Amino acid sequence: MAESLSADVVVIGAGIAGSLAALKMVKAGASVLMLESGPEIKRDQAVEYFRNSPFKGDFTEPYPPEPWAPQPKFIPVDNEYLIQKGPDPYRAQYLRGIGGTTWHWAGQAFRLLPNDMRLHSLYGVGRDWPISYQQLEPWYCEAEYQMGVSGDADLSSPRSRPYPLPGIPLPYGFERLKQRLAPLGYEVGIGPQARNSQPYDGRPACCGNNNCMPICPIDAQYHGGISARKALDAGVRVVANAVVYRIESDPQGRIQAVHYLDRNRESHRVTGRCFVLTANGLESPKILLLSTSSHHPQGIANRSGMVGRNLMDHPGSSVEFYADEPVWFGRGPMRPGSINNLREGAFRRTRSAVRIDFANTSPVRYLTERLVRQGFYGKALNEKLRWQAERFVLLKSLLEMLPEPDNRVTLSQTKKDAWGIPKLEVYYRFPQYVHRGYDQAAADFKRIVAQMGGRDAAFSPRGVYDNNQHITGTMIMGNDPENSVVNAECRAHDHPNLFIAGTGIMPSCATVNSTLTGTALALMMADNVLKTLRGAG
Amino acid sequence: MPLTRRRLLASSAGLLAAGVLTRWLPGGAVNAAAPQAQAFLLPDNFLLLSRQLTGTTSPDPLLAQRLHRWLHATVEDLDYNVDRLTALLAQENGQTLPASLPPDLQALAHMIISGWYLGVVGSEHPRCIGFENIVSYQLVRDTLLPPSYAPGAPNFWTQPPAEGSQVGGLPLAANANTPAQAIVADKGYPAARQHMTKESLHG
Repeated sequence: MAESLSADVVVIGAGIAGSLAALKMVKAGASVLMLESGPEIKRDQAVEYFRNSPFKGDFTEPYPPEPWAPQPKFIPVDNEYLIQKGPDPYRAQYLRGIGGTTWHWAGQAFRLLPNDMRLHSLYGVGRDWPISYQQLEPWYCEAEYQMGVSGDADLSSPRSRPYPLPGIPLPYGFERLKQRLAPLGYEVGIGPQARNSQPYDGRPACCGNNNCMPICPIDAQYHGGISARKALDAGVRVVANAVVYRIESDPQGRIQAVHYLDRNRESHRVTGRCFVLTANGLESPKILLLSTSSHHPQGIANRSGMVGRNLMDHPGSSVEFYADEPVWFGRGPMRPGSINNLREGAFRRTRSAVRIDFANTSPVRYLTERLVRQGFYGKALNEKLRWQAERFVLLKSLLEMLPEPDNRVTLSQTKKDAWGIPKLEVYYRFPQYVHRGYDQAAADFKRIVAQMGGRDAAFSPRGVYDNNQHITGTMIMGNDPENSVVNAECRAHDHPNLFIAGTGIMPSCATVNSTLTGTALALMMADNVLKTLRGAG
Repeated sequence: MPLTRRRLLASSAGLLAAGVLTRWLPGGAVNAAAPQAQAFLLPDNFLLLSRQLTGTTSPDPLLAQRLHRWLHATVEDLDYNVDRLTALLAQENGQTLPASLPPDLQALAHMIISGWYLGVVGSEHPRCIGFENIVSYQLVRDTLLPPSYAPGAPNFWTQPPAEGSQVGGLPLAANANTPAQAIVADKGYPAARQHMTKESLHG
């Protein structure tokens, strides 16, 4: 007979958002049970998987999935866990396991700009948030102090508290670009990073292993595995390998239970007072869409029909070139700095804003692969590799998608995973708004290349964009129950005891990495859950 | 087919390379050099061709052994084809593989170059046979370490590499990374637990 489980709060998804929310709630005295579809992930194993993998550029390699918790994988070929149905690809890489996708992030912990949350009021595009930057700000601080964010300037996001850690100094090559680009008006600055600039919270300072993605070998970079371990230590009960496939509601909309399949395909029913969904921006809407019943024919939290819609991310373009002086990219953390003064302006009425990242990833493997493909060998290959590795520069733009209902995920009617759960189909289309942002980024790239005496510049083509795994919008937050999924408290409009957080509820994605905002929302949500448990919410 | 002379790849240069690497990198990956220098019997012609294709006089002995073992199991008439490729390259003395190479020798050259420079062999089912000891990382080791390794001191990256020294001019700390148990290529990771315990998370 299946075991019966129950808690004050049942959390679905043990990533950074769910784990930190669970930690906060258990510390406040609630009993918390956290369900995670994937396995436990161990850092030392992940490091070994990385070092022994033939696909060093595939960030999922250190995290082999279990059969019951498959993940999208695109190298060497698309495993079609995420089925592409649209004109443009949406290739999101995410992990299913204790700690979630921040195991292989770059630690970039930006706040939104206040105006990022008022796009519609200011510029007539996208949506406004139902909360202001000022309202969210205290939870930004809380998230930063949990994660150990290092930074210096506020980058136009006002702060009530200083960064918990001083900024990580820029690598030599970044400083050279900073000096040489300043006359053109480009401000190269230290990026806020969930990466220790000095020992913090029992973890060491970054010493430049240059492997933030896919695995920091020393935990100088924060990740959801650390959050989950803290939650466990504080008394949260964590069940790994528990694949939630249904949320059960009574006719009035009160959530009664969730159901999960274990690794033996046995079903379990978990009851609670409040339920929290933090399973990421694709897996969370999947669970909601799966949970149909006679009372909720479109699934849970989906009276508006918005679950799975408004999918956003950061399409990215790039340029690479060889600078006219050695810059030695690849020394230090992978994403230590960027250009942040292109993110806001009246141009947002007609085109995407732009953020330009400097990719401090060691270029050696990439350059070697290309030279080998070109047929070089021996001394010629060695000389070229050494010269190129000293001067290689890679710039990446992050562009802003807007919430459009047609960009969406739906359940496949024909394809299921090994545990019998329907796979997701994704429809995605890049709008002109993004293409015009590409044009601006390309113009900026050209000026930067010229200023750096760049040789052999190669620009990524218009319309072909990287994805950045910043999954936003699929359970969009808003005041109107007719066109949004959760309200300003992160509470589902249709269900008084169901809360959703993480990046999937964000009504705008702006041009910055979404993790810090998703985590701040989760901590804000945790306070609202606690109020509800106390009868005040 | 004539018997190829086999040579102990334990010349002073070979041993030195293994020794340097061992001091330079803490253990961990299955492909790192073993703490004690080992000698391998490898055919002369393979070593000669490897030196030609890598432009290095002292290729890493462990990687040489792993690459040769894989080639031997994969390529028909390896010795004969190594001799053919060596002879054709000797006539060229170029920077790139000549377009006139027969397809089978183009493929063999790419296998050997990829093995030495990228530590990866096989196109259908690629395998990793080296990482820390591949030629590309050895070439730049005065400025960059292989990803996931570090000299052990924060902020070294603010300075340009010191002339003629290892990264940042710093010796590699013996405990820069904790050696971890090697995991074999079949990814035999431990069975997942249904209910985690504190011990399991702290493991």
